[in-house]
Formats: sequence, C-alpha cells, structure tokens
Amino acid sequence: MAEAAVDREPTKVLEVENLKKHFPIKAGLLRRQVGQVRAVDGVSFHVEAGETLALVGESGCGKTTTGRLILRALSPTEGTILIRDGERVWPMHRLTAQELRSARRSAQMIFQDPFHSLSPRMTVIDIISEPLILNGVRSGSTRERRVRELMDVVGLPQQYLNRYPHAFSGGQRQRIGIARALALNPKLIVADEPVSALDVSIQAQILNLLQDLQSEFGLSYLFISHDLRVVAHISTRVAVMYVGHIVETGVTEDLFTRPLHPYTEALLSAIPEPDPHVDSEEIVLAGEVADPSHPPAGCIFHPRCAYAKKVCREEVPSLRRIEGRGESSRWVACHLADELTLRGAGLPAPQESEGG
Amino acid sequence: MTEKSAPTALSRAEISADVLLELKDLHTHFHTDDGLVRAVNGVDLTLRRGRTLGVVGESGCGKTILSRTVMRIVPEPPASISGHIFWHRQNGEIVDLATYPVKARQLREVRGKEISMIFQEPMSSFSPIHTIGNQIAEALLVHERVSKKEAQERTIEMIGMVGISQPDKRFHAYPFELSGGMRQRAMIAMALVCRPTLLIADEPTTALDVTVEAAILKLIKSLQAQLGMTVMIITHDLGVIAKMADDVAVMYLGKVVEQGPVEAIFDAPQHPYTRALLKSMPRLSNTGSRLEAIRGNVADPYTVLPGCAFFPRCGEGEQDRCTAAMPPLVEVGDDHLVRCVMREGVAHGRGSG
Repeated sequence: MAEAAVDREPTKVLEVENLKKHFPIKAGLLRRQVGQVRAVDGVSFHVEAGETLALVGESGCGKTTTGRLILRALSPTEGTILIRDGERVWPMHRLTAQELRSARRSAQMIFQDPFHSLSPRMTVIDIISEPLILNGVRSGSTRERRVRELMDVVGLPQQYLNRYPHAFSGGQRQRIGIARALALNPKLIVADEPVSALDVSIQAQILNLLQDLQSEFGLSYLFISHDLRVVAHISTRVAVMYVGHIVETGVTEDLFTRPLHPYTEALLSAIPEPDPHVDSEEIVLAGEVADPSHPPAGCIFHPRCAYAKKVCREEVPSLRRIEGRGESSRWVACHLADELTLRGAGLPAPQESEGG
Repeated sequence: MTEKSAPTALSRAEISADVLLELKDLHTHFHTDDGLVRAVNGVDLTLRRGRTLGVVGESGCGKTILSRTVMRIVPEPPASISGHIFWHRQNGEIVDLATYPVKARQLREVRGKEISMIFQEPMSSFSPIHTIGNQIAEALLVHERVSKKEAQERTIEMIGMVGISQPDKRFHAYPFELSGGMRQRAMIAMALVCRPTLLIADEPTTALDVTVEAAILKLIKSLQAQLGMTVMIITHDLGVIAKMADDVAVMYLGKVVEQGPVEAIFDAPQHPYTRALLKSMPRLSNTGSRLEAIRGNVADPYTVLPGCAFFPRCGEGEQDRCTAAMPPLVEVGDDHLVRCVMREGVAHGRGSG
C-alpha cells in the first residue's frame, strides 16, 4: 500500500491537484460516445488540518461531483487526491476497492438529505455501527459502547438506540448521519449541503454541533454548499466554483469583503440579507450558465461577465496568486483581477439592540 | 385588539377602501387516520391593496396550507375549513370565499382570475406535453371572452413582460426546453396573464440558485409596480422577507404569533419565537459569533399543547401564565400585534425587551 511519501506538507489533510471528471455522452444504437460533460475540469485545492474549506457554487458547477471524487464514490478521469492521516498518506485517486475500505477510515461523508441517506430498515445502532463492522470491530459489546458514546457526542438520547429513522425529525436524522461519519475517528469530513434540507432553527443546532465537533476532535471539513450565509458563518476559507472550474479562493472574510472574480461579486450581491434596511443592488447576470459539454472558448464566465474584454474571449485564465489583497494569499482565475475593483457583500449592519 | 371570541359578520365600519383580503378566525383542519391536524388554527390577517405581505415560518407551521385555503385548493375532505375569507372583488362586491362549496362558480371566477398563485416547483406546475404558450393562453380562454388570436397576442406580450427573450418563439417551447429560472418566469406569466389583483407566491425561489432567485424577486417587484398588484409571499427565508415584504406575519404551529410592518418585526421583534428565528439565522454581518439555536423540535401536529404552543421551546416563558390559555393578540406598536402573555401590558413598548 502507499504509505511512503512523508515529505508532503504535514498540515495538509487533503490535497487535490488538477482533478477532472468527464462524463461521456452516449447516443445511437451502438451507444457510441458523442461528447462529454466536463463536470469537473481541472480543480486544485487543499484543506489544512482543523480548518473548514467551503466549496461554493450554483447547481451544476461540479461541487458535489468534486466531493464524491474525493471519497472515490466516483473515479476521477484525471488528477491526484491525497488524504493525510497522521503518518499515512492515501493516494485516493488510485486505490483499489480493498484499500479504499481502510482509507475511508480517514475520510467520511455527510449527506444533504437526512430522509434518504439512512436506510429505513435499520435501527440507529445498526446504522452507526455499520462502519465499525466493515472495519473489523467484531465484539458486539464494544460496538454498542462506541455507539452510545457517539450518540452522546452528537446529542442523541441513548434510549433511542433501537429506533428506526422514521421516528426522528430531520435534525435528529442529520445527527445520526454525523455519528455514523464519526464512528471511525476520521480526520476529514466531506459534508455535502449538510444543512440545506433543515429549517433555520434546526440548521443552527447542526452548524453549532459541527463546530463543536471540529474543535473537540480536530476535524477538517470540506463543506460543500450553495448557501453563502451558512458558508460565511462556518468556513475558514472559501473556494468558488463555476462550471467545473475553481474561479477564486481566499480566506472567508477577505473573499466576502473584497471579491476578485466577477462571478463571486455577482454571487455575493444576490444574497438576501435578513435586514430590511439593507437595500443592496443585486447584479443580474446575463444569459444562462455555460453548458459543461460545450464550454465557451476563453474564460468560461466571459459570456455573462459585464467586464469581459477581448482577452477573456480568447485565452483561458489560469488560477494565479494575487499578492497584497487581504492578509493571506488569494488565488483567482481572471485576466482582469489586477484592474478591477469589485463590490463585496453587504456591509455589516448595526447589531440588534435587543437583549431578551 | 384581542382574540376574536366568535366570528362575526363584517360591520360596515371595518371595511376600508384599501383592504383587499381579510381572514377572520380561519381554520383548516385535516381529518387523518392518525388524528386531527390543525394546520391553520385560528388566523386573523388583513391584506392591504398594493402592499406585500410576507408569511414566514418553518416547515409544518401552516403557511402553505394558509395560502391554499385562501385559494380554496386544499382537498376537502380530508380538510375542513371554517372561519371567513373576505375577498374584495374587482367589481366592488365583498364575498366570503370560505362559505362556497368547492365547485362553486363564484370560486372559479375568483381563482386564477382575481387571485392567482405561483408555486415552488415550476416543472410540476406545467403539463409536459403542451407548449408553455398554450398553457398560459388557456387561463385567458377560460376566464375572459377573447378570441384565440387575442389570447395568443396577450400571452406573447406577457411572456415578454416576464423577461423571456424572443417571446413569439418561446410561445411554442415545451417546459423541458426551458431552464429552471425561465420556467419560473413562464409560471409567473401564466399567473399574471389575467391581471389578478392578488398574487400568492408560495416559496417562489426556494428551488432556484441564488443569482436566479435575485432576478426572480426583482421581477416580481417590478411587475407588482407595473400592474398594481397585491402580493402575498410565503417563505421560510427571512432574507427574502426583508427584501420583499411591507408587512410580515410570523407563523408557528397553525397560528400567527406576531404580525406587523417589516421594520418593526426585524428591529423590535416581540415574540420569543420571532426573536429566536432571527438569532438562529447565519448572517454576513456577524460571522464570528455562535448561532443561537432554538432548543428542541416543533411539536408533532397531532398534539394539542395547552396555552402557547411555543412554550416548550421558549426561553422566557412562565409555566403558569403560558400554559393557562392561548395568549390573545396584543398590540405592542402601530399595527404590530403579538400573541404572547409576556408582552401583555407593554403596549406600544418599542425596542429592547
């Protein structure tokens, strides 16, 4: 197995380089390939130990595919994925099925829909102990002890041990999913829209739980979401995706206050802030999202970009480092990043003058 | 103003010219095998002409059933409706929509013509086998005495008004040929083609991406100004409420727990539930702090809690006062009403609580 490479940057829990996933389009009687959907088209990023990297973008941008590629629920077309757990480095992109089983001890996934990601025929103890069984924990009493411990950790009453998922609310089901993901002490959790299906009051409970677990167990999160308010709240850094590409990354606050990519600017301007006094002027993007099977030449965003120039229509911009904007390094894939001054998200409103 | 003890007929004094819709002690109960579900359980609300009322609440609070009750499109049975839905018709007549049988001609005249509705899922609101143009024109042919040609012309005009390019070509498009945002625009065109007085929008942007959502909300606002409509928007998103609404009603378990002008609701919320909802929401402006979650879950719909339904999750209630009886709506500011015994006696008190 591949446990050799130790000279990698030790604080990076996840490193993804030039990751691609092209789905074939087949047609005709012989199911010949007539094209391909470039769902993920060369993305590179990393997640540091103990941080939350948010992967944001709109439907079809490839964020979910990226998450699934990292845990090898899908196999990549190209690129490398390294997951580091202590001294071990798992090259996820080329592991065999057998090796993956061990590798998934280091990285786990939480899903969006707590109503479909749990089997209705399994009790809570079955669901949470499944990963333990798959990884060779034979003793039933050891497993039960671990399950009870995990239920405590995620805030589920232990007396629900033998209940079925239908007896739980959405928030409680998400807690079951989180307990299952934590069962094997992973280093990295890929959370795909974990709170999107929940009501706002329950969403807050789960976001708080995720933050508590992070500081308690030193977890790293790859947090996939379309909800920029949630992302602003939970993430350390943000990577913005558009049609299979990362267009910008940066520390959350820098990126929200000083976006460098016109797409990020448009996204931020569209967030409805829960404050009737904020009268932000949203940027309405022209046209439709590019078709990932026929991406436009040049910058993938140029047909909708208000700032596009000749160079944008001809050359593909690479993700490059911009110095001196914000405290840490910023990366952006835009030819015009040095010339443009873009508008950030709505300025902080005065705090609520309310105590009760 | 206090709880209506018994629904009474509308007195002349209560009718003012700018009122469009009045709900009085409205109940929608569902008789199910598992028990009685009080989806809407005593709602009093007034909609004024030209304004936008936002109804906000979490899943199961009854906001969607409330809007469908106004349209009388909840299935009866299992539902049964009681109370009053006073609708001020375009011809000046005031009718109580709650009193008619489901298939009454009077309802059909109002529904789709004077009140129309847009839904969360545009794909399921269109038939996949007819062109969007024909489906939009159908509303005109049903409700107005127009020729097919005129219906087509007005439909094309409407398709253009909702911001779909090349309306005469798109008239012949099928729903699957449009993107989610375009389909939502087509549905708005279908709802507005008869120029209704009231548009009910039930989570109109929940299934859409944030940039598309912004465009659709902007469109609804501009059409409202152009056509002089009244809008009732149902949503779980306080951000959408802040952007769209003039007046807000906050619902919890079938009741309106607080209602008032949007500034009052956001700046000086009075009901503990409204306050908790606002605090549990992540915002761009306070990213560092921890969210204040509301403890526990919404009670299941079959249980009838004594007194205030929010008490088990409330941080500031007192057992004896809160569980004794359903708190009445008390006025705490101009047009600002709250259903909480802890606020009794603080009439017109603003600001901190």
